[in-house]
Amino acid sequence: MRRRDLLCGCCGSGLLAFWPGGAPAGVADTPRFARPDLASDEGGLWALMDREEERLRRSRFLLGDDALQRYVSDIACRLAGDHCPDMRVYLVRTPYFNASMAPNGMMQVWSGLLLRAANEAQLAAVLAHEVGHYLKRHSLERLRDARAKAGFAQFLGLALGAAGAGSIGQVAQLGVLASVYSFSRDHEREADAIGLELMHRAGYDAGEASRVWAQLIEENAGEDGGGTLLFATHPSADERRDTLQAAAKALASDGAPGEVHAERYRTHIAPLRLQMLQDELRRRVPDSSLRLFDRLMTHHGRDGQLLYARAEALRSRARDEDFEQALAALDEADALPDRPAEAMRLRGQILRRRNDAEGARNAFRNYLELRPGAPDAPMIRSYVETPAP
Amino acid sequence: MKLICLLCLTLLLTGCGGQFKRVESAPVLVRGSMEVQAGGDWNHHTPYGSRHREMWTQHGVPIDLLTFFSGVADGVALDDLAPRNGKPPLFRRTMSPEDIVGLVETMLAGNGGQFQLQSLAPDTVSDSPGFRFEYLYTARSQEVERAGIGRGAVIGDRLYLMLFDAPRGRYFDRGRPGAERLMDSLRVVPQR
Repeated sequence: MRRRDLLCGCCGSGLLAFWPGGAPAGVADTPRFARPDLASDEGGLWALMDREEERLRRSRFLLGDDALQRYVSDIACRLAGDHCPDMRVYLVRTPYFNASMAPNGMMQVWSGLLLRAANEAQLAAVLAHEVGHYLKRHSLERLRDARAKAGFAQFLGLALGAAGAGSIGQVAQLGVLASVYSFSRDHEREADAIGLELMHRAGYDAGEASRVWAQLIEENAGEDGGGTLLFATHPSADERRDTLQAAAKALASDGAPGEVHAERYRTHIAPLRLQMLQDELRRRVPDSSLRLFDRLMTHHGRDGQLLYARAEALRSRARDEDFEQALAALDEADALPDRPAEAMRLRGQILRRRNDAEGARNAFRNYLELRPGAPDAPMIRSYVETPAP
Repeated sequence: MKLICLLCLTLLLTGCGGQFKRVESAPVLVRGSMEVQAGGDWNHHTPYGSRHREMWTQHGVPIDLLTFFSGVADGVALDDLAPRNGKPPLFRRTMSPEDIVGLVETMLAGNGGQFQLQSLAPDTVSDSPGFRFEYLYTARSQEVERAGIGRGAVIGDRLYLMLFDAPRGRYFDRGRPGAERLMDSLRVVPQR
């Protein structure tokens, strides 16, 4: 075990020496990890994460879409190479941008990341970064470092909390894992370097890694979180974007053009995208949601779902001109085949607010025709049948 | 020592911390503006820092929870206990019932939880036009699905709302009739 640590440590030093001027090499060839002795600190960490994984397997928050599950697992596998059999991917329904990987091979990918990635290469960039943490066994280093600094109790408490065994488990179990792996900035930089190499080897355009961070900077421009929980522990997004950009250019100099697979990505997330948009809307942070939706429209086109989501965020923000813009977005969505029925209800709600009783009734009638059994149908029907207040 | 540990554990598990007090079986004026006919073994607690909230429970907050939102003013967050940097959405007197249910949805599940509206219909609340709704939700911090019912109305530009929720199934079914009786008895004494 110690010999392997030493080898990995040497490998890491080599990577840092190359980074970001040249392409890091060799880490993808790290041999698969054997299950550690349970009596060791690493074995204890694995056991904790095994327990957490057991809980996650039964979680109500798993997305439960087999096709998407296979698709994301295949991407992780291509990136992980020989380590593929040791990895298990779980798609978790939560509207924040995040992914994490535990030392036992359990990888969580949050739906907020799936919504925000513009293409397969961007998703691969984040997954490859997590694989980088795994290959370098950063969580073990974090454990040992925490113990050395008398922070072990805190670390253990967080880990137990993540497994639902401690009082912290009541706070935010899904989020706690991210806290457990609040790696040092050096670890993050190292994982970035490895991730870039892995995605390049897997045939992706490494330039997409820096674009992920550029997008998050833009979305996070306000003070409302921007759907990411990463900024607290990771290197600054600006630094990350710039470093990744420079490194990607160096990788691209070998002449192999990478793929982004935008269409393939859109096809695979399509069945769950409306649900992801509604989860984002439920956060009620309209400013950052609007930035997100506008950006997605530049990547995926102005489709009916995105226009509806934009209109809903505008109505939620309710500033001057917002209702006007929301109606304009709904007008545009009207001609599109993927416009959800909720768009008609939204039009009715806006028109009712603006005292356009007849227009509101027509919109509500259209909604009820499409969704006669909707949970809110009795309420909406009352708007059609009774005069506006 | 064991006794102290047991006591601490009990307090932790109930989430009460000894702050709940028994509700007398009689007309009770909640936060000065919502009068209900209290029956059954209810305990009440006014959360520190809340401008308009009161919580009632019979068997402990995780088992059954009735929450009153009494006279939420225009421009004030329904979830006035949310972290300040969380920027909870504000109640507006012009909001429709769907908007108000949206506020509840964000309060219960906005931070990555799941929320499913089961029904929303017009209702009469304290002789005023109002609404009733049913829902299921799972908070992000939990894996237990809870069922809930709500009833509310905007009277005199203020929101009066009652929510009852409990783990879906046995606990919700057991607590629902008593909660509905309380909701039926609601009489709003509008604030100025």
